[in-house]
Amino acid sequence: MTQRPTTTDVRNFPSAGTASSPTLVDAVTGRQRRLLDAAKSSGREGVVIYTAAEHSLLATDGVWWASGFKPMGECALGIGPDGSFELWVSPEWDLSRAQEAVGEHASSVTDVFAAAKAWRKRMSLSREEVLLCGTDKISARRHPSAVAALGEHDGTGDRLLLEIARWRDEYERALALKATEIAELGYQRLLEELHPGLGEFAVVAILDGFLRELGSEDNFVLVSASQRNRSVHPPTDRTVERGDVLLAEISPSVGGMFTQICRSVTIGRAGPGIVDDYRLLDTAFEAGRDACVPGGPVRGAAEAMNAVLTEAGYGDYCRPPYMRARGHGLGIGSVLPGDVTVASKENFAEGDYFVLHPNQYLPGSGYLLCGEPVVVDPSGARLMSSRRGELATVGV
Amino acid sequence: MKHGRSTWDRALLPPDEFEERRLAVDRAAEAMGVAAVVGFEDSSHPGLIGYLSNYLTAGALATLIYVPGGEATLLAGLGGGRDHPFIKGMSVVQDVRWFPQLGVGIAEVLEERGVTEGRIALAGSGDCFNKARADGVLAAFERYEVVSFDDALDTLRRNKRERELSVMRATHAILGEARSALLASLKATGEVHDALVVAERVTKLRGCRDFRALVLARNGSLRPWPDGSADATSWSSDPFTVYLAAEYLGYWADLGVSEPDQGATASLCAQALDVAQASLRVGSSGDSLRSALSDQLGAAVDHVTLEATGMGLSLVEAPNLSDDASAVAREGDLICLRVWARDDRALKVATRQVLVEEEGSKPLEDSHLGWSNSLR
Repeated sequence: MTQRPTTTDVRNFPSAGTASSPTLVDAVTGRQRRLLDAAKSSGREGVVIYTAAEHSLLATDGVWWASGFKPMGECALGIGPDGSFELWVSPEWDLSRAQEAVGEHASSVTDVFAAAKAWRKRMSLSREEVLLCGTDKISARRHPSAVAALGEHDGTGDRLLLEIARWRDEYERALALKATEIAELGYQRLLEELHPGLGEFAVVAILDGFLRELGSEDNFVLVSASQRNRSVHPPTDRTVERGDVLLAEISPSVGGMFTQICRSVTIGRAGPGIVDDYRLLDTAFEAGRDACVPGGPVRGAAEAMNAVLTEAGYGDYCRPPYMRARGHGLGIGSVLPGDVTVASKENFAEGDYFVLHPNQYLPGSGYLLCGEPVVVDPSGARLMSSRRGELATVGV
Repeated sequence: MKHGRSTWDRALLPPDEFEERRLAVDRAAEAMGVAAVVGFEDSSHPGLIGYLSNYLTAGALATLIYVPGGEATLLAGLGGGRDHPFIKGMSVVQDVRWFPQLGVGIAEVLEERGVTEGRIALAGSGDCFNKARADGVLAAFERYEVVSFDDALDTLRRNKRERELSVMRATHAILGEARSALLASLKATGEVHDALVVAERVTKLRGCRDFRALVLARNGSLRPWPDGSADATSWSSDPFTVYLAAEYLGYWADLGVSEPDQGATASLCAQALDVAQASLRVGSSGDSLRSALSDQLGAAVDHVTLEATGMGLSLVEAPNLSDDASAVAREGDLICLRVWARDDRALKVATRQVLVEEEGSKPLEDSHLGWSNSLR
């Protein structure tokens, strides 16, 4: 088995800085150049990236990735053959913020596709010479406008962007690291505040506010509790009671980089069954982690985790509805390697950033969470979190 | 941003409300001669599913198949059914399924319900699908004549039912509490970010799922909070404006907060809002409202921007009087009036949700008083 590097090796990333810091400008310049080079290698001369500004844990935003600007409405970015770029922004009132991110490259428009068409003509580019990224985000309603401006595109640009952006640069890793630190601090706060009688949504209100105070601009959070959880889900008005197991997927975002830590907390002393089941998932996590090597199949990590559970007699539970995936990608421009499942056709690549979690239902304890964000480096999957989560107990 | 409903106050929004909505959809479907209605929903477009089933997805696409007079089927979740117990708890529809191939799954349910040919209506496909996915779904409907249900649904949703108005009043009341907490925090610390954290926490402790804010920056621009809000104007020394919006049980409310020292621009903002409300009646359009503002405010109208749109399950929904030249107000429409007034340094915002009547409009907050009085 490959010896794993220590966590501190990957935690020594440069400061994330602010939206206007040279670090981000340098990162964005590098991203645009890499994407343009890849486009030219595929026979195109320019690139247009589209976003509908629908942001979530599992979604990407190529415009945000390539500009450093978080769109609030429909936006697009054009990269010309010479490397010059323009950012077309809506709504109009958000232009000032865009200009702070990219200066005079940003302009306010009422129709991003009309702006892209005008840009294409100024650049003397035919429709065929433009690589369009983000076609998957263009609604059927907006599709005719996109075709009129840029012609029909088959999604080649979408995949290329995912491939180019799957190497998370140092700036993105710093953001991910910051987000992970915030997640861990948030979890500590949750443990301090959690007590019987608190509503699930009150737990999240406290957690969300604390994460905001620490600098998270968003938080995809699943928090739910039950005597025997069927799954983890968004917070309801159910109150937490002694004997419950509270599940928390804490997923703050900093600068668009989400992270995720998955934690299980017993309210009152944990029974031996839960301790044993959690230990089993913990073992499965480590087995999966060993399989996350550059070039290795993503399904290999899922199979390694399933093997641990199967050996313990839970093979029938290694499928939906008892679990969904053994992890999933996280990122602004790319969520590759995608879902960690036995059906995955992807291979791990160096720099892949994702959460690995053998979260699932077990007949004795119900659903349990156990997961960490990791990065694939040459020697294996490194933890982004400072320490492995443990089964916690409050209210004893 | 948080999407999707995860709490449900059944006293405020009882399940029988959805039975009445179902009957309304039945009548619309019958008028269109359709054998089934299929609605799609993503986290930004609640559409038919939020209206008919009470389920608002937090992310994954959801599909509702409804044959008038029968039970609806919901295709929802991330796959595999892990989240179906939760979805059933948030929905009046209990037949919840998931299909890896959506179009095939819909066709299978339609066939199961005896709809094997004829006309079916789709709602939300233009917004929830990209072209490739829309084509993939539509390919499974070759045996049907497919028409759009979008306009019919807009007609149903723009005219809010009493229960919807009650929820919107509740949302507005929660937002009022958030405003009070915001002001108290500002007075105590002067820190805008901290005050907005407090305001958001108030809404979430009351069960709100989504909270949004815009703040005024020192350069006069609006900024979404928390992104880009570091340069927000301060409560104590600058022209200060915050726009707040929150969603409770799926329904939105919004309001503006300004510093207590109300100057000329704040007065203009308030005046413009009064003019817009006084002018809004059945038949009003964006043009007619702007004309009224121009008549009443004179040259000052150049400093005013008016938005007049529907509001409900979405922050902005039909009718969009301010942006759609063909849209006119109808009796019973719930319209959110938002006025933005700007001068050299400041930008003020004031909002009011009103109900359109034949000869005028009245604030949502006042619309239940007649009902209360009649009980006495």
